Amino acid sequence: MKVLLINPPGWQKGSTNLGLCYLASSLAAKGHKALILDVNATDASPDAVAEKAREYAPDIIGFSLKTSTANAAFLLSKAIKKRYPGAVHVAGGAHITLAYGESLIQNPDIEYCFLGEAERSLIEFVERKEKGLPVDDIPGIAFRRDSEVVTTRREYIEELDAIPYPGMDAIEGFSFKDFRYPMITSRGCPYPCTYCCVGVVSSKKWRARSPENILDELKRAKEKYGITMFEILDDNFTLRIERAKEFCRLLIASGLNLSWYCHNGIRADKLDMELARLMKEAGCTSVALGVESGDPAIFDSIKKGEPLEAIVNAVKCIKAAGMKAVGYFIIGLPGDSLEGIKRTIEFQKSLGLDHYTYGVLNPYPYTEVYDIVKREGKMLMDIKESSHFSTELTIPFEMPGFSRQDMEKAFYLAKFQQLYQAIDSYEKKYGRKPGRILYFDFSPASRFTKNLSRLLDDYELDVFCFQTRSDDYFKNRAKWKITDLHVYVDTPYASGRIKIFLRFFNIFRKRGYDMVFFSIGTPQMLLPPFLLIVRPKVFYLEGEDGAKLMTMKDPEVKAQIRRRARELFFTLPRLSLSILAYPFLRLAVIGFGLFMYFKRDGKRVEFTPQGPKLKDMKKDKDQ
Amino acid sequence: MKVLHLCDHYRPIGGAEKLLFDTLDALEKNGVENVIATHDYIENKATGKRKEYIVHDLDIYPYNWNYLDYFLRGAKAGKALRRIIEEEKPDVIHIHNLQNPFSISAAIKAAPTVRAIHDPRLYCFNNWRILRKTKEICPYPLGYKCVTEGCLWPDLLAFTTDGRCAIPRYASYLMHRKVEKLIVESEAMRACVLQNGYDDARIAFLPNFTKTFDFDEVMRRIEDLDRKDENSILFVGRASFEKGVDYLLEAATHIKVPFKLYLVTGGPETSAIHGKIERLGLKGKVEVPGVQSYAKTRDYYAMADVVVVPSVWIESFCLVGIEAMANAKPVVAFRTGGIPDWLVDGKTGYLAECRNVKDLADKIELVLKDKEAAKAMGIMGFRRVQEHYTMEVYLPRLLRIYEDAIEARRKVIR
Repeated sequence: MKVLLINPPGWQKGSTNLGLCYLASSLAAKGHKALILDVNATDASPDAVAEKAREYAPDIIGFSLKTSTANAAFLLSKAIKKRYPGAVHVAGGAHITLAYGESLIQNPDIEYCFLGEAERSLIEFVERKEKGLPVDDIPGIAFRRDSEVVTTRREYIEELDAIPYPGMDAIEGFSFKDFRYPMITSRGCPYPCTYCCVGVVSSKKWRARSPENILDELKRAKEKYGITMFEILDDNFTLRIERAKEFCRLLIASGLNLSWYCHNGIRADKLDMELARLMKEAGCTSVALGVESGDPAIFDSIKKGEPLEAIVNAVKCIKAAGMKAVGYFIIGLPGDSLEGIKRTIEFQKSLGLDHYTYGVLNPYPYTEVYDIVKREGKMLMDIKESSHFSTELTIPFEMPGFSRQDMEKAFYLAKFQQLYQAIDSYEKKYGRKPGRILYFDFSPASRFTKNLSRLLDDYELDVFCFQTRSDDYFKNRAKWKITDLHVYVDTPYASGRIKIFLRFFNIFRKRGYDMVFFSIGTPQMLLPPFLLIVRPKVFYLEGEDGAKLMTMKDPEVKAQIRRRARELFFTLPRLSLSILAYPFLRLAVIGFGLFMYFKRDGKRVEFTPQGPKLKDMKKDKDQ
Repeated sequence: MKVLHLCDHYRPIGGAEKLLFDTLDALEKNGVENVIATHDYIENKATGKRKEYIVHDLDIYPYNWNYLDYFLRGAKAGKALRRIIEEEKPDVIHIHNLQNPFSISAAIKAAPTVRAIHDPRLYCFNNWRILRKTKEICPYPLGYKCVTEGCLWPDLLAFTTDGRCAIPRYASYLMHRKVEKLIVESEAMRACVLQNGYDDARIAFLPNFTKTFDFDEVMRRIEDLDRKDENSILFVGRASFEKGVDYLLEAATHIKVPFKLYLVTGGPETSAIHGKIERLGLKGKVEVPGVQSYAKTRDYYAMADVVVVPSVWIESFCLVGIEAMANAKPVVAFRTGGIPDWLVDGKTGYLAECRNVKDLADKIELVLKDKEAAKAMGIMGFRRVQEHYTMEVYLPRLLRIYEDAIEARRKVIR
């Protein structure tokens, strides 16, 4: 039978839907034909997808749903049904496992839902459909019967080693260029964290693949796709520490020489120094931890089942082993508030993480926080309209102690914490608020920078972003309302850039700033000319360990300007020769122009329908 | 045979670079050893397929006022190139878009040299042969008209990049007179080269080629991807003035049948294009999928009913046209540059009067209205490519040009 699997849009770009790849390979192993349309990657319109489906003419069409992609999936299903009514529509994925009832009732186009893991149930479904047998007793499915929704007993796959390796080849137009091979080495998680739905989706029972099986998959992937890196997407990779160590030892012995990382987060209490060292030796470059909150009371209330000290120790282990430590934080957990986020930020600073990310809580259906929000708070949108990886900041709910505005403020406080800190320290130092501030961001304007001036509405804020050429920028430019000073510098030549910067420096000088904030990544070479031309009273340099307050009188600043001047001095002989030669070169070039002016011979070319013709210019009337 | 290729860009960004990579592959398949020396643009990366040198300042130009620095760095690049040539001892040097006179001079002195001319920058101070004042196509040779038409003189006074580059560019122009073979891709390009005083005996005519596919495979793709209920118009190319997207959008407002225009494009004018689409009220009728890989672009070719090439400069050849034909699609284009060489008016598509948007719209409509005739045109285009623009036709001729260049150098030495 022919099965079409669709990954709807609305998820993180550049990600691979591993679940669908597992299904495709399981189907292929049983002799069925499976094609995956990654609409999340292609952003094809529903009509285009429907047309594609019609051309492919599958017997079964499957949709993989996450909460933020559910609405898009239903739209796709509707569009396909209209153009190609011949296929059975089924759905699976995390959202369906959590909310299959309402999905079935509200969307008559979806006929069957697959709950949890579908590698076995989908195959059984396909085979029974092929033979025309009833499917109603297949384990782990839900369907409509008259006005009711029927579900069958769910089974989880115990022998994960028996599942065929995921087939990325089935994804239409998939590119293996710079591809990070995604891996799942275990499924399920036994912990009852209040904000997490993994226990319901993948079961509370943790099941793992053998290290040998994982290694075999990596070897094949390297041979087949030439991968150089992979990422582990497990819900709980290190739950059994010995297994993780065994995997690392095998990976080291195999000599595969792959770099990898665990950005889906591991548990802080399931990491020791030995494991960290082995991971590093096996090629692991960075490890993420789900810290969620630095406020001890909130941290305990989310039922992670580990103390906050475990986070501190884990970060120490990761850094001591020579890997990068990444932390994930959630804004809006029950009991959280603006003050709580400030405490979390303090805690995060104390950790010394290499990278951190703050996100606003999405209360997923049937998690404990979902019930709390329903009971005590207010949903501001249908949870399906929220987005997990958003191009805009979306806040799906508010709580009595944490309003929408406060959440937004908390998010920006966390995102631009060094800028806020700089403003605070300015106020402390000078006893007044800074009047006009310049935020100097050398990186392209991000989706959040554009909101910065709105959030800091007490201050007169200018944002200067260096923008490289990108289509995305062009598409969005019209919508942005940062400030007039937001600039696009597209000339590839240094002289052109310097010219543009000098022009802007001049504008900056005229506007006169109380405070200038240089975000991380500002090239050091830009600072001396900027400082000499603009001469701001106070400025801050964003760094790994906080923003540094500086003035023109600081020895460090003076030293830097001196260093630049010294460099200039040593290039001076060459430079002065150039300067001396400049008028002569100008004359030479102008002379060249005159030379060209008197070069009056030649023929003009005319393009006629019969072909190009050359005509003597002396006979030309134009002369 | 060992060939040293000198190029500025060594990554697939446009037609000239695609041709370069296709040529390299074709030469290697036929036992030619290729060595690459390319400018050190940050995007130029070694592919590992052949010996590759990334040379600092290989294509340097006096982009800032520090002329002295330019001379020092340019000379250093020339020296580096000489060392490479000494080490590699190529039988012939093939210069693709490279202008730095220091490098050119090093190449010409060391070995027989062949220069591929992909655009007019060899004999035009502002690169595109479009008059600066009027934006008209320039019919004049390098000379006093460059001054009177404002392409050179204001720059000299203001001393901007073009002005500073004028003398090195002129030096490069003169040096190329000594190159053994100048490869031109079309009759228009030949006329331009002759017009600028190059010797006819040194000119070698070699039209481009494109990868061809099995007829059944092409037809199957069209069958799979063609949108039967939609009139699809496709543009593939750089988003810049000379490629004429502006004209195509204006022409689109004159098309009376329902249509959808796809712009597979990216470049300096991208934002202007988005603005123009809104201004002309074409939102919903125009989709801009942006820059796509060739594999993906083939899907667009298969899907399109007509491919439009609205170039408004002297196109040296325009690879997109034969790519479209290789995918069995009719082409509508302005009559300019090398386009009439491959587009047989009324048979493989239609030629419209250059920059006449009304005429362009009429010709597009003509194709959209009669799909059967369009299909026949596509097939005829496919056959034309199979006959004239394949690697099998191109490669022996290129090897012959290399041999001629070697022979010409030998004669001079004797």
